[in-house]
Amino acid sequence: MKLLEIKGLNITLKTPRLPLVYDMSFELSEGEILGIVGESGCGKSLTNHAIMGLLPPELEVEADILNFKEDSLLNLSPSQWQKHRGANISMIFQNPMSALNPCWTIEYQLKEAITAHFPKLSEEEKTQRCFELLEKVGITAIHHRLQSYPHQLSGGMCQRVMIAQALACRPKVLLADEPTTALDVTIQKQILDLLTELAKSEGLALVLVSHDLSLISRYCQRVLVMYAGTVIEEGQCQKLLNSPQHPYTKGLLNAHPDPFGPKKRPMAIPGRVPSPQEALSLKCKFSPRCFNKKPECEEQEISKTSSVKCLFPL
Amino acid sequence: MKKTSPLLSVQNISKSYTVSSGFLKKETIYALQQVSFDLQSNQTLGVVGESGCGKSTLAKVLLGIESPDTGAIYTQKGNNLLELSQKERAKTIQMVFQDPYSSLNPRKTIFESVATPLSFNKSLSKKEIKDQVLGLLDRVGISPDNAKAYPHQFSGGQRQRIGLARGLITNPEILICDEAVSALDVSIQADILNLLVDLQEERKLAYLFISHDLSVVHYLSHTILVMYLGKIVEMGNQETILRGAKHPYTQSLLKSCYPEKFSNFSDLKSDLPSPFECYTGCEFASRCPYVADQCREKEIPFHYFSDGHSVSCLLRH
Repeated sequence: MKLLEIKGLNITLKTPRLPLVYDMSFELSEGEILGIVGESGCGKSLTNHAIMGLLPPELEVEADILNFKEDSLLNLSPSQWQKHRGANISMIFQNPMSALNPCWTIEYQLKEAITAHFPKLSEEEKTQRCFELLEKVGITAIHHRLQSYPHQLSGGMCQRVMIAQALACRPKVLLADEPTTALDVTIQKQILDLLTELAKSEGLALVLVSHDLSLISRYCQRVLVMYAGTVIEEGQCQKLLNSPQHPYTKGLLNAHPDPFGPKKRPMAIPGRVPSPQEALSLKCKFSPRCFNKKPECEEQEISKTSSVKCLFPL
Repeated sequence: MKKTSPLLSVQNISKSYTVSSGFLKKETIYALQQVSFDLQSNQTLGVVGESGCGKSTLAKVLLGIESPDTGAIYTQKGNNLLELSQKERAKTIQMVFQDPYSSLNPRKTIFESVATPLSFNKSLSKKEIKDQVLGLLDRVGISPDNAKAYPHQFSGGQRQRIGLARGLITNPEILICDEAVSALDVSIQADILNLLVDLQEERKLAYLFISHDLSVVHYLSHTILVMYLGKIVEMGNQETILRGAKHPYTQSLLKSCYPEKFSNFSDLKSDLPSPFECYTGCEFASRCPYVADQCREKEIPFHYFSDGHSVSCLLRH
């Protein structure tokens, strides 16, 4: 069953009028794990925030379709958003230490999430649910942890609490925005294994956002590669890793040293990501940095429907 | 073949911090415990480890920002680095920091930031300082025309290059790179890594490269040190650490980064333990998939293999 349907999503700065994300389209079905990969400023976090209705008023969101199941997520009122957030779509943020409120105990924060959608539950039922959630995310000594404050927990534990909080109201879609970037490497693996196992056992759809293509390829079936505000390539993970078609994807793969491959210099992509202002005048936003650039790249429009946004895919 | 004496010989460095943990209560963090290693000229020593392993404290001790409780650091000339003046130390060892956004003074032009370490040297004229600063900025890929600009006018990658210029302006023999590429996007990282490699060859620099990214560490390093809760648990050349790691902690790091290559290694149970606790025996015992009773009983000695590979573990050799 289709849980998220997004077609032609545009996120635009109102003043001055600048597109930040444009022509963003993807679908997410039950049980699917979708990866979104891209570097700083590509628009991956903005897209997630748009799906959760967390963008500031300076940004305008419009789309041909932005649906959760059959319900449109466009132009919702704050109370309508409140019904969706947590109950239908939930989000896990990058820095767990700052996403949790430092002034309240873990128990208070979990119960706050539960009360928002199930206000009629008794105190005992809410406590019972807290225990269930923390157990599900692999936290031990639960009674002690519930009375703790975020600063008393490690980064990995805070992230587990955030996952518990995100699952509190049984959402169908989980948006994980760089959930392990701020964590140590051995804990990263634990958290990602946990997220993907929970996605399977709870029947969730998971969107995993990261700047790390190899990490995405381990956990996701499908991946979208974003650059300067739009998806430039999408496909099955392994296929994309083995034979990328967009020069930017290839550039990303060549830029990271591989200790198991032949010893060679990592290849940087020359130049830098254009600012939204600079990007306005470019037909292909990547062309100034592309090793495969041809004269047509500056003149012809790229088809919005192809899975590789390139006139000359590799 | 005669072995050349190391550029730096770090011997039994220990550092602890006492922090208050409640009313009239104090606890001690053993940030570094009996850390010893050699740093060779024109080579990179990679240091890997997670939060609380002591790698940043090690960098601060080497740089002189912190003083160790015990131990010595001998230079090739036989001096103890810890007894040198700040000026002498600045000529030997410098650092590039992790965050390009907070490691440059926002109120100084980049020229001023790069020139500041030279202020110790009273014998240099203004022209000589200007030539050195602009020359080095050019070498790291920052146009001298932009020398009067402020940090906020540059990208993260460019700021890191400026940080590199500042680290090299005194012509040190050793450069500490404390997660110097971690905050950069992948495509920019590659540029900085290549620059580091080229500069090492040109200037015969030694690097102490601290990072949590194993693939970057393996690319740059000749030797790798693995740290856990203040101690070195394994040390060896980069190929040995990649393909012949013997300490369970090193193996878990490798498995976390490359699960498909190291699927035979066991997963770790539980999170990092508290750095406040005092451990009898091996600090890693609480998370080790192979732990035995003897691991918790006494101090674990190093076992030395013939090729410079050493491991602090009773069971894995």
